[in-house]
Amino acid sequence: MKEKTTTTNRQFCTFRIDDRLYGIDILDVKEIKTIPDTVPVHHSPSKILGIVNLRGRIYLLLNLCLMLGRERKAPGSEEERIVVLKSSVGEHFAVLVDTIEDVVSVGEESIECCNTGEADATSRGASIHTSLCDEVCTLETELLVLIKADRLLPMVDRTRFGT
Amino acid sequence: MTTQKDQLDEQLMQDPELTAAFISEAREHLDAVGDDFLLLEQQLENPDKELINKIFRAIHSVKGAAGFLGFSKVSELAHTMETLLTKIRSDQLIPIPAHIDALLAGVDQLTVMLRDVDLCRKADISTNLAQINQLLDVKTAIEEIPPQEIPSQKKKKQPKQAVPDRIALDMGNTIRLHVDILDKLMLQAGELVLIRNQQMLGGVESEGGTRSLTHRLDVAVNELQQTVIQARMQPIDKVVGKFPRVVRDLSRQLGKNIRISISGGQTELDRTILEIIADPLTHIIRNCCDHGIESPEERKQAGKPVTGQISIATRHEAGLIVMEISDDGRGIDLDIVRRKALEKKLKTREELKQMSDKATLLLIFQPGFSTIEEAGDLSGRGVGMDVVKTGIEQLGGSLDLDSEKGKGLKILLRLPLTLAIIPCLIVTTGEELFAIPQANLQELFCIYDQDVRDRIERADDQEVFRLRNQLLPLVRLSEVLLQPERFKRKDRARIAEQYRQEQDKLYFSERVKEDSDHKQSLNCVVLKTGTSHYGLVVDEIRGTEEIVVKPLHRSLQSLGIYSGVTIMGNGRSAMILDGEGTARHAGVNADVSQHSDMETVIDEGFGNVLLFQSGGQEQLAVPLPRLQRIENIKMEDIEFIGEREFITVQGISTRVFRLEEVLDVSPLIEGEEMFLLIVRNSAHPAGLFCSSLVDIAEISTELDQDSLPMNGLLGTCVLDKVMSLVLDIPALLRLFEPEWFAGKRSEAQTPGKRKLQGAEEK
Repeated sequence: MKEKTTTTNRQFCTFRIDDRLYGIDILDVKEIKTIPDTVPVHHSPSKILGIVNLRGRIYLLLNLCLMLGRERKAPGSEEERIVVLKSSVGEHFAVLVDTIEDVVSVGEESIECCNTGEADATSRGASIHTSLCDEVCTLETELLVLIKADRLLPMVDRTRFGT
Repeated sequence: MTTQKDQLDEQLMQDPELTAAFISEAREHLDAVGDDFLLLEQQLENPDKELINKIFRAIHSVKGAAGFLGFSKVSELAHTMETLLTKIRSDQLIPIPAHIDALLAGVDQLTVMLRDVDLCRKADISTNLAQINQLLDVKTAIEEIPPQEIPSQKKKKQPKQAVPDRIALDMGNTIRLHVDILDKLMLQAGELVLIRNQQMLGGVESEGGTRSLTHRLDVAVNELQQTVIQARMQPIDKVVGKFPRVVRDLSRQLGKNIRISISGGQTELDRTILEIIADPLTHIIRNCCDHGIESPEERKQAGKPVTGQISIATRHEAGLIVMEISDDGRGIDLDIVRRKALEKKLKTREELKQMSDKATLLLIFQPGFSTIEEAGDLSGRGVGMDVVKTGIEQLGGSLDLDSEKGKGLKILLRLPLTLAIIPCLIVTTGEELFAIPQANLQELFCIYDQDVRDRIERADDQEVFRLRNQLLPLVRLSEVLLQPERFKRKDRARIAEQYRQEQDKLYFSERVKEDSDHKQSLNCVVLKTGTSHYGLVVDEIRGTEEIVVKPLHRSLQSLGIYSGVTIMGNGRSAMILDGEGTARHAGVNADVSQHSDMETVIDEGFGNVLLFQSGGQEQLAVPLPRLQRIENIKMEDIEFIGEREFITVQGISTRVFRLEEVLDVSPLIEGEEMFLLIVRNSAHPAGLFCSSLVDIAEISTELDQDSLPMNGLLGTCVLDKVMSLVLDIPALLRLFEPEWFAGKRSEAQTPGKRKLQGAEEK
């Protein structure tokens, strides 16, 4: 989706949620931080963990585990990080992940489309899952599921209208 | 040549930066010139050359730049206006109002065109051109006839001195900055303040050297913040400066003579506030012109000067901006307000009687209220003043009215200096901090020990506290936060019951221990917003703090109970509570708070029911909040109109109902002396017959709704060891008099017409 013409390689910032490997295009990521003080926002959908203050700006912190239909592995663990996204994918927000992994560079050709949802169709969050990610990439040892960062916020907004 | 020019056009049109610069500059020129035209109009006979020159220069620069950038329509129109101005300048033409009209129309057209680059090329300027050209033609003809006028004019002209050319002066010292940069600067300054705060917290134990450094940092940061805030301030002239034009146009349109005077136009306000108040202010001014100021004939008859006067005065007062808008028009006629309030069913006759003049005046802020008989072109559709009020209140400002019939109307606005930093009360619930804007705050109080149990009562399903003889609904913040859905009756009842039981448990356990002064306290913040007045129960009150307001994240904006986010001194963020939204969420309706406005006749125990009998058999119960009062009546005073019974109570003809008319209950036992239970908040005065009063009892929350399902009953319940039927007053009224609820006023059909008229005469 980006820089396709100049390079056939895409880089992803990868992280784990419930032991599975996920990735977000590195061009959408602003920074990665340890979890700052989070203030819960009552009445907000459960997908919103709260708000955090990053250098004087208020960011919405999303519970990505919940959005993917997974368990937050060890709440409060030292390993947890937040991935802050660029404003190009949505107004000030960050997502919480279990552990952060390396930046992975993959060739455009090894990215496969999976929008039929067969990759993880067994999980209970299948329908949510596929709307967030419709591309996977097979690495040497495991499967990397690519998350469309620009679909995160709309998904939160949608749930509210649903309820 | 044209093709060449077109090419150039295209080239230049593609340079958005140049175009943007042109547009903002041209707009500034036009803005400045609008006022000058009005000035010129006042000195028609004797135009000030310097003034005309100034206008000419402005128009000319617009024309020049437009021509350069290829906005041919703009430059054509400007050129034509320039021609007219040249004639005036060279005394070939004496300006008449028609000229000014044409020129102003031209300025308007230019302003509109400049809003949109596309319009610059496509707009239809032919009418403006025609208007000006026609004037040019006519005047060239006339100008030959009275040549003698010109010298006389020249003589008069001399004393007028130059009008300072604002634009030229300003150019040297100002730069154009995008607002985004200012906002960013503001943000960064705010962040610096936070760092400073943290540094100060850590620096307390540090050595002398670092301490003085910290102190200097503190001073510097404070100054920086002040300056940045100042940079966002703009003189209120930005908004009110447009009013002379508005008033001029309106007075023309309405055939009135109105003058407006403005003072304190240099008072500065945050630009966000300016933006928001622009509409409400325009509305007020329109109202003044349309409703306030009378026609010249009327004014003459009333012995007032023919020209109406509107004045706007702005000043600083105790950290607020106070704006006073007054007119010397007809003012607001309270009798009309009362009549309209009755017609629109906003208030009952009885309520109106009890209201002070001031409270009556404030009725005009009710949605849908308008005193004008017919909706006019400009205003009078009744959507006016409530919009103004909400607008001002949203800002954390307030609005006050003062009117004397025939003398005029005075509106007092109090506005905060800035929205970006507001004083807030910091409260906690559980672990969390919340900020409550001080503008919504009325008072704080604390309920201690025994009072927590004894003085919190229940009115219907709502917890209330009697504060200085007024009933104040209580909302518990912790409960509000727990439940994302709006509170319903049963939620409020559950909460009330839960806390009551908690208190009971505490009370009885204390009794066992025989330790009479157990310690507990309840912190309560009294909030007053547009329509609600309630006490918010919080865990702890931390104190006040000036906080930097940040807008809510877009994804959170649909949550009603917050109005923003802030970052506290310690770097943690906190939500800012929206007083109005919280009230809405908790369902604290105006109903309950209205009780507190009125004299409460029954003093003991709300949340209770009155037990009474009508027929001989069953015991009936009516929730006390539904009753206004109980009257002793004599059966002989009852008047019959057809089938319907009426009685005059305190000069008001009141419809009297017998329960057996609509409920399956034993018939009323008639005695010589009876009781009348007068119903509260009924559209028409109404009361229930009652043969004997039994007691006042407290009702358990769960009414049995199934064993005796009957329309008009809330349910049954054992009270005082007797099964009692709890009446649903609104439903009963509906059964008794369906016409009252048919949507239309049914006075004409009501047989009580005769007496109602009597009441009206009074």
